[in-house]
Amino acid sequence: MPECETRYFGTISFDEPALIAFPAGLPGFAQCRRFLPLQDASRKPLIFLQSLEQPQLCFLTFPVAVVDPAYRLKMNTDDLALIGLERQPDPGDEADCLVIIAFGEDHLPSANLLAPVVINRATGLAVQAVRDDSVYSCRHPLRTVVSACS
Amino acid sequence: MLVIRRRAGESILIAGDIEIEVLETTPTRVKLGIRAPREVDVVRKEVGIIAGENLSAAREISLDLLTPVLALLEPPPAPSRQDE
Repeated sequence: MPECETRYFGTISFDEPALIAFPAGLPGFAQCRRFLPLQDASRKPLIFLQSLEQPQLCFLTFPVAVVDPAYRLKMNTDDLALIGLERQPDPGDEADCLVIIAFGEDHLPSANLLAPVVINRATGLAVQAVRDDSVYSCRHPLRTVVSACS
Repeated sequence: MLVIRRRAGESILIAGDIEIEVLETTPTRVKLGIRAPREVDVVRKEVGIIAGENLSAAREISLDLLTPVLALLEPPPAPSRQDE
């Protein structure tokens, strides 16, 4: 089984089919093409997107439904073609949709709803689908999610 | 901001070797063709913004900052559907 160095979990072994591939990298990380989604039982529903090329690069993500159950995915045709989809996927069905978490200067977490990571389940191909519209924020505060859940 | 009026099929040149051609216009969209040297990075503006957001998301951060959020999210919310 292949092994990789990770930012949060030391060196781990992984199944090759678990890997996801970004044919175009991610904005700002064009050279990072292969990522391993990882979960930690004590930190569910967080999903760690660990880069294989850069051990220190690990995005923290949530499934989009955790942040906004009513989220409406809208990908442009270039992004759809890049991951081998012919039409808008239903999140959770033929594609997984993750949103990247960041921390502002105030140390409060926010989620990037403007550019979700969409993974074609059948092929493992992924893209960070930057929306053409501005319906969603790239810094959606997570405290609103928390207050909605409590 | 410099404003130039152009029709489909017409171009503008930037710094001599970057050409932006208006290929097609519709009432809501403009299709542009861009010819630029390989070393010139051309992206949609929102992709440039997301690059900055990704760099910031990849910074050294403490997982502890997420603990309060995770505590409130546990168990993961399931779509509430009542049996009828």
